[in-house]
Amino acid sequence: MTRGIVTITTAVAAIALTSPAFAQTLLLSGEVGLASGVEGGDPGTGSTTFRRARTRFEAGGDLRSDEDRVDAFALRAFAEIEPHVSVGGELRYVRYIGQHFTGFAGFTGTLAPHTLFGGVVGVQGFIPLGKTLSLLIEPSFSALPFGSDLPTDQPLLWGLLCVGIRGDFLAASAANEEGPK
Amino acid sequence: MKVLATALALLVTLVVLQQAACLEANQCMRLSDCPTGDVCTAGLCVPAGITGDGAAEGGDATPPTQDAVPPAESSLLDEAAALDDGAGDAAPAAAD
Repeated sequence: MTRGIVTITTAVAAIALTSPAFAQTLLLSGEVGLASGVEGGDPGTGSTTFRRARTRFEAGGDLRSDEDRVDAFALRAFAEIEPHVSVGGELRYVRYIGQHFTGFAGFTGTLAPHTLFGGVVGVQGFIPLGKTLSLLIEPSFSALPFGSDLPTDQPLLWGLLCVGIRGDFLAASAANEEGPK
Repeated sequence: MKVLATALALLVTLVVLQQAACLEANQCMRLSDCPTGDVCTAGLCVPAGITGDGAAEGGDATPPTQDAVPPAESSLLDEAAALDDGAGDAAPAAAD
């Protein structure tokens, strides 16, 4: 009997004294920009040649937790708009290095009219323009060894510079309105 | 910090523009550079079924240059041969 009372009392005390867990808050940032640069590869001539890369419009965002503000995952969609058209996207792991600088690595490629797949690495710099907006400067390098858009088995290389606007638009609660914060 | 970032951005932009200015033009590097129905072969857009050296894929291995001798050049060769024959006939006559 005594053992039971002690057990129940201990369990109730443990539950009652536990501090309530706070909901994790997700930090969402969005970006839009224009990018171009150089595109290189061996189209079958036996030598690597370079030319101006297609101009592209990019839009995307990254998501991270307020409990771990260093690591984030990002999605980026892009449309090459001249001189030829294609659409594609990127999936990135982003590592924040301070408030105004990140490094990232991930997968990139085009989906239509032909496919291209490969990897991308780069850095981002943010120059604050206000409370939530920043000027985005993003040099990146991609190597794309797979896809139907390649005339040979040699990889296509992109060295791009994206300039755009970034906004820290939303701090959404992961608990999703689960009572007062 | 702002000045440094702006300077870095300008430097990268200048490097990219300088690179782009020196690039080779009129070449395909991706299939999507070519019109529909063309393929990118040896850096050039050619109709599907034609290789970069002008030979038809799947055909015989005869180099295109052998078939591509202009008629004018052929007639010149014939004329030269005829002149040689004429000179050969005229030389004995002169000796006589």
